[in-house]
Amino acid sequence: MPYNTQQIKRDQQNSPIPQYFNPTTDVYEPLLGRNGANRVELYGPDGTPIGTTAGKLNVRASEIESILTTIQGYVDGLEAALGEVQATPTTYTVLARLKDLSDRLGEVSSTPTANTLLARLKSLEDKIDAITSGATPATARLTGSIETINTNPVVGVKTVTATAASIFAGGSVKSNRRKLILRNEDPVLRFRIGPSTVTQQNGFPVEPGAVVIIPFDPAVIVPIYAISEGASLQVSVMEV
Amino acid sequence: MTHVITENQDGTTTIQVSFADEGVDLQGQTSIKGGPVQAQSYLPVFESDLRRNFADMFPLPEVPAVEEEII
Repeated sequence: MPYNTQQIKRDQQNSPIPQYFNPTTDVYEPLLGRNGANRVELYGPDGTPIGTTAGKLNVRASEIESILTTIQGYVDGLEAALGEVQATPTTYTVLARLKDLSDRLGEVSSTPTANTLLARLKSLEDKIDAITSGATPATARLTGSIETINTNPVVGVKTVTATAASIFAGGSVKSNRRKLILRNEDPVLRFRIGPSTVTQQNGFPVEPGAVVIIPFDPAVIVPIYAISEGASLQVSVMEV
Repeated sequence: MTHVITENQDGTTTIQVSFADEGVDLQGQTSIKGGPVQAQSYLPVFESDLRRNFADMFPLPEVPAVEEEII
């Protein structure tokens, strides 16, 4: 029967009490509660009451439990990989490796444990301090400078003509030459030097009696061409 | 003396000479700006320089014997 055919509940003073209509029993029933709140039944979006399982709401509880179980598995694995916080953690754990790293680093103190990284850094720092203060000056010896001669020099006198030609002292350009020295032996004429494209106009002029010294990187072959501005002239050449 | 002239792609020509045919262990190599014609004209200059700078490697020219007359 519809609710409007039933009598609502009333208290001793005949006033309506908090109540709700129960369509199953077809009567009004008192609205109960506790701790200052009335009882409420939750409904899902589809109009169906949300049930419970083992005292827990069925709000995707099973999926959440599955995810939590998975997470717990990860945490358990992580705990094993991390190792224990103790003086000697289990080998190959993160904490064991951190401890190993810490041991190799050494302590931040004025006297770190010998052979640790900080001990070696401190030793290096002490040596640099001694060098910069002048207490223990650093000694250094330069080797391999292109300013030094390491093979016999090659000397010769070359004829420079109006045809630009590679200039060198011997039969060919000295291998790994470090320096080319030219002296214009002509009392009047100039000659010019430059790359293979040198001309009597654009080359670098070498005055009569002048000496030109050209340093080279021994590892790089760079030919130097010479051309006379007029008639042939003699040039003394030395390659080192 | 024998020689080889090789024209390069960069506007230069390489000249290689050898004095092995004269019994002298001397080789030379240079490069000049220009082509084979310029190289051919420069060749005598290059050869002359090598003969002068390495004169100690070449045999001395034989001086013809002069018959002296006894007066």
